Amino acid sequence: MRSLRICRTNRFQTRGLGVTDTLDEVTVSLVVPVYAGEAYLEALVAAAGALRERWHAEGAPITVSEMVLVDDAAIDGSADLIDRLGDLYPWVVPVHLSRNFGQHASTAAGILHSSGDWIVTLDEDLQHPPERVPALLQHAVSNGLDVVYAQPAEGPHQAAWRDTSSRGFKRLMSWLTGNAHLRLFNSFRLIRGPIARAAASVSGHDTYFDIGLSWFTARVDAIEMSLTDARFKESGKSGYTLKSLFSHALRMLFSSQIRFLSLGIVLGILLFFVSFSGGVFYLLRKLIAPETIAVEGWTSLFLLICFSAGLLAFMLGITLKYLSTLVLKAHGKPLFFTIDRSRDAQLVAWFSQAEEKAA
Amino acid sequence: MRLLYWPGPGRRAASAPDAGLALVFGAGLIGQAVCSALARTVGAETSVLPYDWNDSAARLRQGRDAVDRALARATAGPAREIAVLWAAGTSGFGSDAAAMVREERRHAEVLALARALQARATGARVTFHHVSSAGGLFEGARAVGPGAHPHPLRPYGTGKQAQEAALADLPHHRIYRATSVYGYTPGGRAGLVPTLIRNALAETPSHIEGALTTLRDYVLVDDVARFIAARMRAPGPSGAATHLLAQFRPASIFEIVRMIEQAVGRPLNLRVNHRPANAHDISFLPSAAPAGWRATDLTVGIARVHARVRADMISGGTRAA
Repeated sequence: MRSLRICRTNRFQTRGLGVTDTLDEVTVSLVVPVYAGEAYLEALVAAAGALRERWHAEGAPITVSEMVLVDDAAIDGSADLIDRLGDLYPWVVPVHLSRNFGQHASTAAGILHSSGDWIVTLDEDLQHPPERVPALLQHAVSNGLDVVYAQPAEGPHQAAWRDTSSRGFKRLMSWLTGNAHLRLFNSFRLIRGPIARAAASVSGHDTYFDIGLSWFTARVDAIEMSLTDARFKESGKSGYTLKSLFSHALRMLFSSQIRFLSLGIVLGILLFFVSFSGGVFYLLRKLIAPETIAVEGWTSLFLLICFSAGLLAFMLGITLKYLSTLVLKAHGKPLFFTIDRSRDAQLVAWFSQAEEKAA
Repeated sequence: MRLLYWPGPGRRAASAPDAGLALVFGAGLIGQAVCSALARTVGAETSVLPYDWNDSAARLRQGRDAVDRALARATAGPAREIAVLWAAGTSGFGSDAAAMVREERRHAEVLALARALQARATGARVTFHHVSSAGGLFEGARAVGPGAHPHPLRPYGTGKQAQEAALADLPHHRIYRATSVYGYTPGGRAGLVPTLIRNALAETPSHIEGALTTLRDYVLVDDVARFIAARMRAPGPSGAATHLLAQFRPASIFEIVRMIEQAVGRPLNLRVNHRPANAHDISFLPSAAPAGWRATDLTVGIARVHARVRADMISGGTRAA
């Protein structure tokens, strides 16, 4: 309570003019990659503005300091609309990419143009309503998390085949990459600002952004909320095609150390020991009881093949593991990263105060 | 101090009716870049005049001489626009109140010269161009937008605010609030970017005074210089104007380090002080950008600075980083 009062008295900004932060205020940046969002952007910005006003009216120590709209060479009239919205609202930041780079690249670009303590990435089509941001934020600060994904309570597409295939794909990739958080991945996510910017800055063309995030934090969780893919419901068309799903899968695998690599090493060691033990066994048998060997030569040939295959699998596993480590280093996986979570207490106090009021 | 003179477009210096003249105070990163921009764009001729920052009596005399020479040149030109540029700030975030008072005193002397010039320059308009510090004025503020009011947190920012306030009675002036300006001038004060590049090339450790997550807005000196030089040539309507010169895209030190490592092709050996006195994030909204402002992308800017630092090192530049 005390810290909240201090926060209010120290405030010097003129919100309407765009200065939205002080040393004490927690800032949230909204980042929206835009490819075909002309029909939704005005409503999305209005919803973000409403959240901004709501927090202001409630005297919250939080503000939506900016909304970064990234034009990823949009195929409709989004680019002009983004500029118009930027002219209309000082807190809307238009960013135009020189060509279509894809959703992950445009998300990374938006994050690198933001300065918030927290960053929320949203889809352009109102599938991710800004009014859900407080729930994500509350969950994050209450549990000391760095990333919180929104999980649709029901299938977002409200089409059983589409939602089941989406879940199945995530499970398969989670098993392949060994990343337990992968099943939580969703483009509606709240990320601690410094971690988001660090992950975005090391992301290359083939880096899967969410895998990149996992290089900086393991404090990842998700909360369920009602989300609907309005575009899919209206048009029956998903933003993801089979081709884009394949591309996602490839990037996930290339950004992760695939389980196969370790399996190759283990398999190689196993074969080596089987062939070695077999060799010792048959050598002793030859020396002690040679009459029990009916066909000569076949066993040693089999053991030799086993040994060679084991050695090859082991060496290949080691080589691939080494290569994978180099690739991850090239991708920007850091040795370490430091973070300050001390300001979360301010928000925890605010949220519990708000809950008390509501009760 | 430098006296610059440039002819009107497409004319010889002696006969140009719309020629311009400038007195530039400060030969640091920004001052030198502005002179270079004027030389490049309008072929400004430069004369270096003595101006002793450490001797106030000499400074007074040298200032009067400079005004005389400027007037003589303006009359011979003739120049209708006379620009006086203050880019001589030597303070930084760590400067104490006494250092800021010393800087304000020097600033006041230059202002007095500008007033003297205006009083004696008949038929010419004198515009004072003042380079200020957005970082000092808005320290700790994020998403700074148009119309934002400065709120300095330390003597450095208070001093910069006082310098801006001292311009109030000048009829024609322009204030340029530059964010973290980066670039490279051999022998000049090195900022974060050239220091890291130099250290990466020399494979020596770099000491970072701040958490790697600290956000700043880095703007290339060439962009700042181009913008100021254009307004010195054509200040526009009379009166006062304040321009925020930023990249309008915050970057963490972590990101800068990554970009430099990629540009140089070598890893940086970092020693980080996580408890510095100057660790507040600062960022600015693009809606606060002045008309006609174009900022170079950080990756391109860092690559340019890298090329300059490397060329200087190859040619034997030995200045310690």
